Amino acid sequence: MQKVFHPFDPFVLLFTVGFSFVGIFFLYKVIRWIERLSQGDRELLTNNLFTAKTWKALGEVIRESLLHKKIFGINRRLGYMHMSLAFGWFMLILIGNVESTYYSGRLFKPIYVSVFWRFFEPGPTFPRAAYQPGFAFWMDFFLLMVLSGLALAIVKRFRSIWLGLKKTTRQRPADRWALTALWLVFPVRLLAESVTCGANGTGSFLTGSLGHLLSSFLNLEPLVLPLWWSYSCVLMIFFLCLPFTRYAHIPSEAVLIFLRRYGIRVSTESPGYTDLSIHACSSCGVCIDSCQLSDVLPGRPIQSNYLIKSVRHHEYSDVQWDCLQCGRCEKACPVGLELMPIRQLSRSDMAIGSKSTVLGHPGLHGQIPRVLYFAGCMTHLAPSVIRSMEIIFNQAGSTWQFYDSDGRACCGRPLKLAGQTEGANRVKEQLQAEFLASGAELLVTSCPICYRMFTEDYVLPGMQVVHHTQYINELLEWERIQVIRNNLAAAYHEPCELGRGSGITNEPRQVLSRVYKNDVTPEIEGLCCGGSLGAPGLNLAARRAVARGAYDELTLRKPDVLVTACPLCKKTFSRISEMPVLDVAEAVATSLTGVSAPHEMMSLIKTPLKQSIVAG
Amino acid sequence: MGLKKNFGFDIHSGRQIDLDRVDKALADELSELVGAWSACINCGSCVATCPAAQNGMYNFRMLHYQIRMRVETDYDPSLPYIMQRRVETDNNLSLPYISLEHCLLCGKCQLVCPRGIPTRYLAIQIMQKTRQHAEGIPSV
Repeated sequence: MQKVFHPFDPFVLLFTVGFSFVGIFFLYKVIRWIERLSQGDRELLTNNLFTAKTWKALGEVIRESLLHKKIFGINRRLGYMHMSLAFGWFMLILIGNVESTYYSGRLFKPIYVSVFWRFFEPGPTFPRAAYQPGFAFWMDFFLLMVLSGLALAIVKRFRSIWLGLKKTTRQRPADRWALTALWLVFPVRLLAESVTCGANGTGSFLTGSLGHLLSSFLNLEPLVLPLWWSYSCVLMIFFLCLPFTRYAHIPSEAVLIFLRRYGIRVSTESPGYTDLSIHACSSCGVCIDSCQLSDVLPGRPIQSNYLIKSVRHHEYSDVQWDCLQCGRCEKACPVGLELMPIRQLSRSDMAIGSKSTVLGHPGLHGQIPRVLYFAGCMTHLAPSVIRSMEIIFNQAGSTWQFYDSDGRACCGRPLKLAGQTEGANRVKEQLQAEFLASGAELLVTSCPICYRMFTEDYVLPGMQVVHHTQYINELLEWERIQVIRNNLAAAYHEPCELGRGSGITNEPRQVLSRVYKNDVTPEIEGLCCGGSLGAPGLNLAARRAVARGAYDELTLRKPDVLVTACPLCKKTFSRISEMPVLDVAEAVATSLTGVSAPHEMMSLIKTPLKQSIVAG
Repeated sequence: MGLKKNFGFDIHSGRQIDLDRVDKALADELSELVGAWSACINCGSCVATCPAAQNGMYNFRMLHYQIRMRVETDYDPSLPYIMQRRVETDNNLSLPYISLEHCLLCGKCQLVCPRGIPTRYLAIQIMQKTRQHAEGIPSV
């Protein structure tokens, strides 16, 4: 007669309590997240649910949530650490489930049955199915994988540089509880399984050998139950802490990947998605390493993972005004979180003030220009850039007008960066209407900050917006203007808003290759000059330190001249630079054939460029 | 009778500041937050470069002065900033807040400031603090 199989022991209750709590909590959370999406975003969700996007999202979940491919790109050891913990644990759950189903012959059974299967069924005694040693082997294999990842995680806490991170994140008390529980889960599991296997003479290369070794000098029988109780207990502690700690990213990240694939983005209208993004941060610390302020202001919790923590726990502090918003962390983030919009939203939570902003009406005159030139606030503080653009426009024979010649207009992005969304929108509405009324076809701006605002926020049908580096590049390609190449070596500083922010990376380099003989730009991710408008709270000394750090990196290969494409970067570097700092427009305007740069412009350019131009 | 006709001009009230009555709480609070503010020499570079000041509705230097000396103005939105009539202040400090609505936070003032004052941050802080003071929220 066949034995009735009812695997149960009181210790499984601890695990069941913890697991049910997490399950119910996240079910509630997912409902809340979807509920708090805007109407449009909810439509995106329902329209895309049964399309190929869902499969692509599933692929991404496997690639990123389990295998952590992006972290492998940052550092292989770090990638292995994350992968072994996530993928290893996942495989333990999966194989454990298959194994218990195979032996018990039941597809539907309480979850604890497969989790504690080794306790209920330590070896090849179960009558229903033939014994398959493969299960025990693969279970041991993946347990070893998780344990190796755990060893790396412990090393990372004390010597993070070995895993490619200069610093690790500081933890909150709840995080420490969860971390301790998580660190205990797998060693305790190893012990519990080994002791059980040792007592029954079963197990594979890891649990079997360890069990055999222990049984040689210990009576294992009385240890079995206390160890399984401990295992269930640490699992419960971990699960109870999970929703309130960084480990909430485990379920959240998967949900985020799906919603992101459906086209949902961080916005004021969808607080649910923002909240989901905040929960999806794993606090891995990659953002700390990519942040230039980590070295300048050590210990100050400016970086994105600290911002996310403070937003999550509703702790607002002035520290967050220090962030340069250069976007380096956003680019490095392995979860792909929209860190800059999240920061802007959190700033608008704090911002009290600017509601109505009235701009001047410069008004255009004469014939309808084909090209409208918008210098931008900062360019007015670098007048040689404006002079250069005037020379280039005239040399190219464009019909153009200088929109903000009186320096009154602003694009609105500075307000937006400071979280004053409403004020920024007012400025936008006004300027947008005037641009459209001008009848121009092309809007050229010298300021990457304005460029980003115009392309991301403005709606300008029938009008193309270009940065002046793109415009100059076109002129050179169509030979509307020509330049003489000089013998100097130039390093190009990529402005954050232009390169990372707007994706304009090639055009400035192409222009420079026509003007300078050597390009000695270091192959690094673009650095912030420290002048950023994103950081109103950052003091002058810190800004200088950031600028100095970036300058040292940029001039490693000893250029003769530093070239940038942003008036703010130019101004910031000019203050500390020993070599001339030029805008791309200036570099071109002083190298044009058939036109000599005006005297006052030449005086702006210091030696050795000047000597070279005068000589050449 | 004809002499009493309203010409659109007015006699200003006294420009003297009664230092006994000056409440420096807000100024002190801001100085603490933005230490470099005390280095301000009132040179006016900030206003000279300010895009919003060109419209005549906003004067950052004047605003500092008003906060430091607690000089209040009867705010008439139809008049340019310089023509606003001054009045003695009580606790209601609305003008800095109202005029700051014109600030574009572009940060030009910060770049030209010879004393290196983070004026952009100062403007943000003034917005927050004056609002808090106006609403009677005690500062932390």
